Amino acid sequence: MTEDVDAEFLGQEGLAVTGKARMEAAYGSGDGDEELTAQVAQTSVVGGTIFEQKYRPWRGELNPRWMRNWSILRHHLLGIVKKGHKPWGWPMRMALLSCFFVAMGDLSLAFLGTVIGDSDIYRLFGVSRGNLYGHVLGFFPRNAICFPVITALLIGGMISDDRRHGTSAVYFSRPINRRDYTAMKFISIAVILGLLIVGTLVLYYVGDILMRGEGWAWLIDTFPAFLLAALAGTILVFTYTSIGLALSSVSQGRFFPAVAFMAIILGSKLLAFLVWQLFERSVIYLISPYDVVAHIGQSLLGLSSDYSHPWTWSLVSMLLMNATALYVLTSRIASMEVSRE
Amino acid sequence: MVENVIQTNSLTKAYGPHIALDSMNLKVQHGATGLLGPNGAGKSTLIKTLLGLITATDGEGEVLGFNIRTEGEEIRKRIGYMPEYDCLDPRLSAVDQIKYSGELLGMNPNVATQRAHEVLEYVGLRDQRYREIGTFSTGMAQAAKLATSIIHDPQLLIADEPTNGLDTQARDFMLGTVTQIVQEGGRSMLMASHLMDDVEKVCARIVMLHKGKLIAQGRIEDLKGIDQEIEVHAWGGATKLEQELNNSGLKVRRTGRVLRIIKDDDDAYSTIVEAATKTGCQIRRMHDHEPSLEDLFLVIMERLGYEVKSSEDLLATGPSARKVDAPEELKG
Amino acid sequence: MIPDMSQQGGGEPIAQADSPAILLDHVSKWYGQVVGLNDVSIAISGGVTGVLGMNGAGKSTLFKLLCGRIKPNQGTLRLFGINPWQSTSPFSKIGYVSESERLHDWMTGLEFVSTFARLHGLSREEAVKQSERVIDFVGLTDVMNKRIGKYSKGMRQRIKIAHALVNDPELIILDEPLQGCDPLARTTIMNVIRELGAQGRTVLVSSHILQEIERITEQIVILHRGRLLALGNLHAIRSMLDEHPHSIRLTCDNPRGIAHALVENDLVDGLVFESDESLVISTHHLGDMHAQLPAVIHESGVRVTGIDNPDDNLESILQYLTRGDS
Repeated sequence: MTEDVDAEFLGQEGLAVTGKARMEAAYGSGDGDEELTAQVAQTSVVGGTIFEQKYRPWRGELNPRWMRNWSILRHHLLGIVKKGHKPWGWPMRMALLSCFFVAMGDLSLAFLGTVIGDSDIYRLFGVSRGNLYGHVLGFFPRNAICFPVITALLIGGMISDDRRHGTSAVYFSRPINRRDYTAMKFISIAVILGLLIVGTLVLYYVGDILMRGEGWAWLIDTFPAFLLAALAGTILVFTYTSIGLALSSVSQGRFFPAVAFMAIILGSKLLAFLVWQLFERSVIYLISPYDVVAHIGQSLLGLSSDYSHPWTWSLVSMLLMNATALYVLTSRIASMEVSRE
Repeated sequence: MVENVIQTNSLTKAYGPHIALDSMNLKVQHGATGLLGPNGAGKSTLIKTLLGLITATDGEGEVLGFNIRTEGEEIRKRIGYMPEYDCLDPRLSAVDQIKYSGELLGMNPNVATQRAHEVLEYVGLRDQRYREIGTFSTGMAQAAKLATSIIHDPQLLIADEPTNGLDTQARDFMLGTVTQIVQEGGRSMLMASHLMDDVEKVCARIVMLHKGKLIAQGRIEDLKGIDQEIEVHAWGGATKLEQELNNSGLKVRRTGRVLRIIKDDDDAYSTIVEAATKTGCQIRRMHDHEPSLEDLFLVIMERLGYEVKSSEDLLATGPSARKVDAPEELKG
Repeated sequence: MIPDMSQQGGGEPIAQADSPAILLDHVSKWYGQVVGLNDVSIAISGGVTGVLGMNGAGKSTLFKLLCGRIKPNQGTLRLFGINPWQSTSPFSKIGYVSESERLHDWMTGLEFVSTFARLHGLSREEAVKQSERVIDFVGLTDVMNKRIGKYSKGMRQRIKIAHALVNDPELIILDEPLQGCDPLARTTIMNVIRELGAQGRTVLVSSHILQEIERITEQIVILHRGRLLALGNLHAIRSMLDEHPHSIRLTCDNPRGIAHALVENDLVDGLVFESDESLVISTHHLGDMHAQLPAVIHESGVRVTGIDNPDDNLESILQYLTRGDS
């Protein structure tokens, strides 16, 4: 009786592997002559549960790419306020809330001035070119503490957590390509930072308008400045996000990217500041991401510059920083393994 | 004509001088197939290439009819992947995590939620689905991993060491579950595992890799040779029994109380029973010895030049002792 | 002095003091409300013993106690007559292979093993010599000068076993030694374990995979929820499970013929025709039944092609002992 032998060995069809199988005997098996001894305890029998396992097929439709990407965004953004999404943790949420209050400081004080009737306070904190700039790029306390810290907390585990927990396997075994993954992570951080920096700017501007009760003419006067400040803020958000996310993609832990980010932002500024003090050279400020963006912001808003080098240099530096960070980020993501090996 | 679930044509992947996949012509059919091979054989590289995550250096491949080079996205919509290592965030609850994994596929959040509950119940985690994954035992975590991979009812499930670290009960449940998926659900599965017993229980066919090459593929039954040996477990006088069998003209090899007798014709059984009666030896077990999948694996490896050391090899003094393990050898 | 490990043949037990290698006497260990071990008494000396139990049964507690990492809340634990919590002297005679996967990836195999040899007090030359010996014992001589980071899973397991053997221990504890190994490495390691037992050392092996334990040893210890359920030879344990009658399945072309011969037999509790070709005998006296069986078959003239004890294996034993418990 010949059957179709469905087997292939070393490329040859129909060839079956034959050979004498090995023999083994367990330790203690001997010849069966010795006295076998054993002790058994009394046991109690506990009733079990009935569990019926029935396979349920699924014939649903899968949504297209944008829907998948949107789910990534939702996961990261909703996680800040809701349970069941990316667990950001309470320290992060508290920090975000506090920074939010700090960011709204200028509006609150302006409001205070209006309420008290003290026009000096109001003039100090109300909308003006300088204050619009200061809202997004003022150094202390926003850019010295709040924005770097929030960025550090945001980027800390963004990509390294996926590496550590192995959840990158879940992402990439789905029809999500790496560019989308990176882009969505980037956007979620940028959105949060953006709300903190530019979103509060909008609130500040609108709030001030309401308080002022001025007419349309005033609006037209100040609107361009507002837009330019928003632009400067966006550049800041973008730059911080790309540097931060690049760092997160490099390491496997949460601590390193966060600390490294703070070190880069504040450290470079400190270094440049020292050089400025000692040698009166402002060129070193080109390595400090904050100063580079601040310089651009100052020139956008027509404010007097703290720096002695032209703003175009800062522009180039900013573009280079972003390009480098994005390059590092994309190459790290491209090489990220689906599962740890 | 059976349509192949996976098919490759001279599939090659090289990392510089290191060739991870070497001109593979794979044909995986519908149903459950085991993916075997020693560590480093290229199993993970193969899986990633099939998922479209690594670009092959040369050659072509198709999974479920889709080209692995150009249609990776389509493939990944229809495949479930259960990796060997942990892949779930320990801080999230099972149902949230699995719902998210469904959304990542493009499911509507409502649909994903419903399916997540369904699938968690299916894998036996109904009572634990609201708990954080970090609190799960190994068995539960593996089940959750399985749930992640089947939430969209994929046509092909690729499972990498699905019974890793599971105790007997959990293992049986896992194997039973995946078998049910294949049989009741009519789906296909590629299961990579080192545990031959598991593979034999679940899969009818295997594919075996070694150093990036495909060395064997086909039905397990067809790959095994027929040894024509009868295995006997003797209690109370195996030595005498062996003697008696030799006297009766049968060829016997023995280790401890286990004997293997070459079956020349069907009378061998009666001869054995007669010998036992004569010597007063008990026969606790007697059956036609069928080589297991593990035996098959070892025989294939030996054919390729790898020896398993016998106890005698291991006891020899110099490092030069390297005999081929000849199974006919009698051990002390 | 370190005995010569390369003895041919084997079975000469290594001389030891009167105390058994492992002795637990009513040992209990709990962690707050959770019980690790509950009133466990075991004596093990020589040979390979399998330690079985589901996750949470108490295996890891037992191993930690044996290594002296924790001490019992109640009862006494002695290794070679010495309390491991109070003295480190037993550890020169013990080798432990843990379940953890982390190894010193940056060292070569030889460096790794000889470092541990030196930690046991061997001189540099002695350490290298002994290391080469154990590495050959586990079959890794080819790769001993390569970094462990490059080893496959099976090789890593074997080098772990090697480092535990380098001080020529009398007691070796292996926690899941076969995890992640391909069949080639598995068979080699199983051979190694059997060999160590045959040399007279005491080897404790724990594994989830019952079929593997069955291939390695017949001496087992079964833990369940911290209690000792059974201890001894697995066949003997099975025969002691009185409430479950033993089954003997005979495969033949004329089951009725044999049934006819057995129906009057006192030892037989029941006869079931499982199919046209098989008969299942139910009995409470397995040994006696088997003693008579060859004669019965021979006299009946029926050709029997298969004899089997379907439930005389670890899996059935575990099931009977832990039935219903999860």
